[in-house]
Amino acid sequence: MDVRNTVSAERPERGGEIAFDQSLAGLAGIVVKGFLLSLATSGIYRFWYATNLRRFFWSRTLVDGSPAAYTGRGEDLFVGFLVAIVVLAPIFAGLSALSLLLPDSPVIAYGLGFVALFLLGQFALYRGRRYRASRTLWRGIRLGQDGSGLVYAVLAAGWWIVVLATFGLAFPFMRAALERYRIRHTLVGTSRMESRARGLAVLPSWLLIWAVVVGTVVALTILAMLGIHARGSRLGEVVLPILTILVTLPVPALYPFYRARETRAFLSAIRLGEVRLVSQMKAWDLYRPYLAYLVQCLKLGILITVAAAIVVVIMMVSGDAVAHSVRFAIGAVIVVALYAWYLVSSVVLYVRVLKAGLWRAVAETTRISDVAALAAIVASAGGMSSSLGEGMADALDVGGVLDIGF
Amino acid sequence: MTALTGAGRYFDGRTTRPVPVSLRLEAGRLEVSGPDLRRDWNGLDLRAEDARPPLMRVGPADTPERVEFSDEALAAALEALCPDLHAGAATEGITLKVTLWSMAAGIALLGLAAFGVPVLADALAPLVPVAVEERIGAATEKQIGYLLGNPAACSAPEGQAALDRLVTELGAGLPPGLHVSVRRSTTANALTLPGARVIVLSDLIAQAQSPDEFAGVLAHEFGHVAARDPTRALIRSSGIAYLLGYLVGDLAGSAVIVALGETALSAGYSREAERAADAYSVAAMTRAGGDASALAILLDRIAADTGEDLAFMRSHPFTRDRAAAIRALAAAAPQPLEGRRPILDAPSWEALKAICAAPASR
Ligand SMILES: [Zn+2]
Repeated sequence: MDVRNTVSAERPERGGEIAFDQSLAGLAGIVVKGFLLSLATSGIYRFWYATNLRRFFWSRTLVDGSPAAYTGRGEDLFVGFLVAIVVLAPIFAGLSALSLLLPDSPVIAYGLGFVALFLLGQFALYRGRRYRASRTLWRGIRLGQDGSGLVYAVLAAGWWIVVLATFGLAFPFMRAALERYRIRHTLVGTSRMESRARGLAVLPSWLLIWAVVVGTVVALTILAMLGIHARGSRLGEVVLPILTILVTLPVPALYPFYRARETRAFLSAIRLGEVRLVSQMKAWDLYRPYLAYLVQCLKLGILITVAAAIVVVIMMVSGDAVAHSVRFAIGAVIVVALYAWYLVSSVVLYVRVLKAGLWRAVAETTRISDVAALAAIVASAGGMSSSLGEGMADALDVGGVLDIGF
Repeated sequence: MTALTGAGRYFDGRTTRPVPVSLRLEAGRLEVSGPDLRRDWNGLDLRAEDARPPLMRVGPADTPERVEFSDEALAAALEALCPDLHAGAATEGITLKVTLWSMAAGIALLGLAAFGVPVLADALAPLVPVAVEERIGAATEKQIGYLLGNPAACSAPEGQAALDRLVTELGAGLPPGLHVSVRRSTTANALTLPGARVIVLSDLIAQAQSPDEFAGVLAHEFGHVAARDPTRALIRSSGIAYLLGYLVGDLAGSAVIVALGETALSAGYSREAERAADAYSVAAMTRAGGDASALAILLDRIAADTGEDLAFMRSHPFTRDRAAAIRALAAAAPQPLEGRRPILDAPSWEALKAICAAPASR
């Protein structure tokens, strides 16, 4: 018996595949527990919640049949968060002092504040990724990331200036440049990853979105001008707002299409020695989780509405059989219960359907070209890095600890 | 006990090369054998890593060596044999401990927001330079004007003269930058901003039944000016917003929790600050020869008149207690020898009441 074919009982793996757990058994429990305990601890438990989520997602991802392992700890993230509070406090105090000292030139104060927060945010994202990398193992081999968070932040800022100066046309080139910086500073054991991501490869897909956005802006401008003339008429009150919504809709709907193309191009551009990744991602692979999430949310909404309606009917039919105050108390309890049900279910749906769906979409459309060459990867002696970046990312609300991605 | 056998892959933990091996579990020991490879592990030393059953990834705790296999019978036998198989897969077992500790940490941070930040604000407020305070005050006044819908400033000349006289009499000893302005509004309130700025909303003058009532409120606001309460409150509410915002992080509905917490923790000034401002008012009124207990009359009327819900009561809570304390202070204060007269004569009070009358300057 070839042991590589026995990795998963119901879904045999061919060597070189990346697979993600189909059943997600146990995930809902982690989410419900994490969400409720986070509420009960005014948010502090979220660091352990995130750790549990990551352990689940990592260990359910099989690369060539072997599960990845996440060895980070909730304590690390919590300490990183405490340090981030202390490190960020003087920066925020300085920024607000600046805006108070320059009351006549608010643009300068806000601009400086925005730039500082942007740089901090990018720095935190990069350092957070370093934390996750150094806590990731596969077959006992630790991943790692070097490079400088500061350089990354400056690189990102510089590219955003270029993107703004070219009215967004340079966006895919920025994405490629940052991807190259991240991947080229990522290590698997002693082997360094290499990326040949090129913005040109995804420029056509981006131009499509770009054209739609420009078209939308032009259309909205025309609609706004029409609206000024048609104020008070039926055209201005009913038709134009509907048209505005219809015109705006395609923009967010098209972004997953671009992301799918980009993921495919960038993943396929990754090299690790002789090993290559091959991504077959299609746009539909990314749309499917979003649609499934939408459908599930609608189902939940209908279910809760029906439940509420039944309760109302029962309350009305029961009439004067029970005292007013008792009925009010029962009604209040039911409303609270329904709301709690809605909250918990929507959080579970978000993680189980959307997050896991997107994760699976990326994992299962990716293959490793030359599994035999993987054997050349050797463990390094490198240590683990600090969790300050994660704490800052959480505090600055960029990525945040609950983000599971890598 | 019979031996269980199965097939798996061995990894040495230093390279990613898989080595096909056969496994044999017998008498509490796991035997791993393959080409040029033989391991005999004690079941008590074995640890399993996270993986979805039936896949199992297992090896001795003190080496990086692992075997992977997908064999339900073997996995079940190992589970039964090794008590510490999932030990060190920490987060599962210590949920209660983590929950209790993070509750404690959350309470500590909330406590820091509720008690530490005010202490910090008390320490920092006197250190803020006057120039900075004035700039903050100017910015806040602009913002408040915007929030109130840019009400017209009231400065009818006779009324302004009466107001100026009151300010000079009551504000002795306050910084020279003291600036009192009246704004036309249908809310009865007075606000003190950083940088010794007091804004009187015109309905407060209309609601006052004697000049002493109004003067009492004005002197109370001067108490806040003297104690630099607005600057203190500003530092306090930004500190609380900072801590609460980060404490709660990106959980669902956090914005609501933060907003609620901020409002609850930093609404108005503290009870102590209000008492101090009341005492200041009594002292200033007594010094100026006015009726120091008039403020208590106004407060009582506000407290009784729940339907009207004057804004002054919302930003200045604990009305009834304060009225009683003010009466006690006023009774203890030295009484004027030549008998009491209103702090403003009738024509001046009429002029002050008409400060918002028609030819209000913009
Ligand atoms: Zn007050």
